[in-house]
Amino acid sequence: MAGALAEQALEEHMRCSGFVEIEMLEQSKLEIERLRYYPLFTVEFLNWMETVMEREGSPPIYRVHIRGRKPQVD
Amino acid sequence: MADPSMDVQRIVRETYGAVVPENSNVAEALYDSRDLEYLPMDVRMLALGLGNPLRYAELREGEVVLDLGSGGGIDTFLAGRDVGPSGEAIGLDLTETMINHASRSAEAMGAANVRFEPGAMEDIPLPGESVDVVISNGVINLSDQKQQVFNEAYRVLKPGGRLVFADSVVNGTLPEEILSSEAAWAG
Repeated sequence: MAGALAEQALEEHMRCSGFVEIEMLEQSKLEIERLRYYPLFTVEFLNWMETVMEREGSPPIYRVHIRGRKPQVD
Repeated sequence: MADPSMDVQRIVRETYGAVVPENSNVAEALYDSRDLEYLPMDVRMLALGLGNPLRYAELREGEVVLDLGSGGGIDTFLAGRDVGPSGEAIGLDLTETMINHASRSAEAMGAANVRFEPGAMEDIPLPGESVDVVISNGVINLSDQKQQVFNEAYRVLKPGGRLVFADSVVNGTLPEEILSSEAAWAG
C-alpha cells in the first residue's frame, strides 16, 4: 500500500517502457475493512492505519485493473 | 517513495515468507465458483492478491503466461488451466517459502504446464520476447523500482503481447507515518 502510486503515474511508467493501448478497466475503493481479510496485517496495525488516515485526511486507496500492449512489429 | 534506508525487497520477502494461512476469505471474495472449485484449499488459503487480472487477460489456448509475484500460485494455476496443455504458466516469486508451497501444489494437482521460478520482477529470469501475457495481482506496488518492473515486463513480452494487472493506486500522498511504516510497504 505504501508503494501505491497515482493511476496516472502507473500509466506513465507503462508508456515509458513502450506499452500502448493502455486501458484502465476497473476501479474500486479499497476499504481498510477489506484488508482485515489478509494475514499480512495485524489488527493493531490496521486500526492504527485507519486512525492515521482519518486524522491526516489521507486520500483514499483504490484498486485498479490496467491493461497494456507491446506494439506489434510490422 | 520509500525511505532510502528501507530495504523494501527484504520487507516483502520476510513478510510473505512468514504468512500463516488462516482461511480462504480473500479467494472467495475475488474468484468465482468455477475458479474456486478448480483450486485445492491450500492454494485458496494462500490467495493474497488484490483483484482478478485474469478476468481481463483474455487468455487463449497455447499462450505462455508469466505471473509476477505468484505467491501461492492461485492466478498461475488458473492461467495454466485457461491456456491448456499446449500453453504454459510460469509463476515468479521473490519468496522461497511461496515457491516451495506453489511447487508442491503443482505436483499435487498434476499441473504439468505450470512451473514456479524464484526471482525478482525487477530482473525477470526469462529471455526477451518469450511470453504472450504478463499478469500481476497486487504486487507491483510492492516494488520501489516500478519503472524497472515495467521495463522487464515489456522486455519478456513478445510483440503484440499484453500486460494485465491489478494494483492499488492513491491519487495524492499518504501520510508520512504510513510511508515510513515497514508493514505498510509489505501489503
